[in-house]
Amino acid sequence: MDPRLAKTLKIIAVTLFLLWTVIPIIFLVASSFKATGDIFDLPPVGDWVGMLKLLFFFKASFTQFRNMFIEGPFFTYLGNSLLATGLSVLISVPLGLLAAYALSRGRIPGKKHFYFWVISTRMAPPVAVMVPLYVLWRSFHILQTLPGLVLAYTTFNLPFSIWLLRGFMDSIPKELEEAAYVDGRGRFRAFTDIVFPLIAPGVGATVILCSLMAWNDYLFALILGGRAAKTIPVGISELESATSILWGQIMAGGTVLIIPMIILGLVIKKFLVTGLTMGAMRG
Amino acid sequence: MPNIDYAAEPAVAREKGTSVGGRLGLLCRSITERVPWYVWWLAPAFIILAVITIFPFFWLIYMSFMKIQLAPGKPDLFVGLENWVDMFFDPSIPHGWILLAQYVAASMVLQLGLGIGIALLINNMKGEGFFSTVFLIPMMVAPVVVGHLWNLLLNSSYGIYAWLLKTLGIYAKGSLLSDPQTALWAIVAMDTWEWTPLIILIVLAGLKSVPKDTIEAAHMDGSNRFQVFFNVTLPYITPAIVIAFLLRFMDNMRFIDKILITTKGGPAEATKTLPMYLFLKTFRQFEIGAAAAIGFTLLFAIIICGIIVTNTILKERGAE
Repeated sequence: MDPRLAKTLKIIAVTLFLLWTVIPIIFLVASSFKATGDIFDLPPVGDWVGMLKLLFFFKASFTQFRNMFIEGPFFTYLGNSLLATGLSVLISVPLGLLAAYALSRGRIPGKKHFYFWVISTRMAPPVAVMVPLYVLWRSFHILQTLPGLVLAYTTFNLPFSIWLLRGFMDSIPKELEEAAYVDGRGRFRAFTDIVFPLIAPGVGATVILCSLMAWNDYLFALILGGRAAKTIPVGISELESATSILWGQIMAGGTVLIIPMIILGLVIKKFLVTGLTMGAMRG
Repeated sequence: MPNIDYAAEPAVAREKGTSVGGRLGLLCRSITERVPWYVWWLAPAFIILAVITIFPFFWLIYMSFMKIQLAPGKPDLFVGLENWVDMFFDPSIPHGWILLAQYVAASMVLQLGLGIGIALLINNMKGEGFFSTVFLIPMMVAPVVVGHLWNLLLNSSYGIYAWLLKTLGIYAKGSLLSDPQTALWAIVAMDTWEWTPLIILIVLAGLKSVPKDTIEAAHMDGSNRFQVFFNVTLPYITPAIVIAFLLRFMDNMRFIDKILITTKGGPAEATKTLPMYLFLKTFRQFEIGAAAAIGFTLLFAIIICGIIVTNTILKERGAE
């Protein structure tokens, strides 16, 4: 093939894919900054200029955000989302660190079975898990409470952080800590002084990925969180009822939900592939 | 752990040994010493995991033999194999498996095909860093938002993608999501939008492991592009592709958020994949016992895939 033609085709293909990827995001953000009437202003079929206006040149308005946060209950939902995410990370990552260190350094019989257990929890379909959790949470009296939701997020965040952190720790040579023992420091001090600083970026990535999974969750919050611990994803979905759909607020809620995660995703870009493949790939 | 020799403090030990509390303390100490250090490090995570994963697992099996009555005060009834037998006579279940298979297969083919293709195109291209930054955006978007967003994009009166399909003369019958013929494929498209970027990034990471001089040597030998790809590049990126495949495969089997948001199994059961059916059975019809049997089957199927994944990932890392 003519190399110039090949290059042109390549650029067209990549551009099309790029457009396919970003247009929904632009549409989401643009719609959330429009007054309610403007969202439904679709140009007539075939009017490409009108479409560009719709995506980029529109009258900005904060109506949707005002309706959600000042007149609506979304501040409470935002608080619930932040609390549920934060607390589940606060439980999962420290406990994950301890367990990961033990797994990485200890000569533990049956370690392989433990790994399988840990990773299998990451494969369980949430709908199947939800049935027994629902019954269990009810008997613990934590159904539809914030602690219940936090514990529910721990079911996937704790195994995930154990698995990921162990991978990071395995890459730190043991000799470094042995030097610390010679200095007379105990195991815990060796861990906090030597190992932790070395895997700190990995711990940061783990914190962000655990936050991502809890923050983006819908099903657990819907079933186990219920009324008392309504998070933003559940709040957004409630804006759609049988009689009306508040598209503007749904889009605005979506924007609120995705912006922090995109920023955090950029922060840990280097670890993203490693994290999302559970350490199987080095990014 | 510092090795303290308690025998070196006989006076303290004798003194403590006289009271009950002291004896208890000594007993605890000797247990503490005999237990390997890692037990204490592992214990908190282990206990929590056991309560929130192992217990529910066995409870799921238990429930599949019961008729669960949610009304307060009513005891659960043992029904033996009824739920399991019913499962074989419920036409929604083979229907659900078939839909799930179609959904997973279509998603996998599209995502892997597109993902590998785009990764090969942008590898070493000018602006590769920019592309990989943009491509991480969809992965960060909550599935709920993906569902609502595409619901609006495809909406027949307000959606820009419905507008685009009309303008291009491809589809003008309304929303793809409300047509039983197309609903499942619309959900495949959403999932492809969200997760193809992950495959691109994984394959790109794999491509970095291909030694450049090997490729140059192959070109020098007179091999054409396709020969170089199949003989040199592909073997190097196969592990990356396998990992991408397995991860997406399992997640597509598990998650129902997008279906739940957009079609809830409709129109006319066109998107009632097995996990979606399981959701409706549990939380709409409240047939918990029957749902437990279905849930266990699904869990079992995915765990089998899980064993394959674990082995692959562990092999990939060269650990254990």
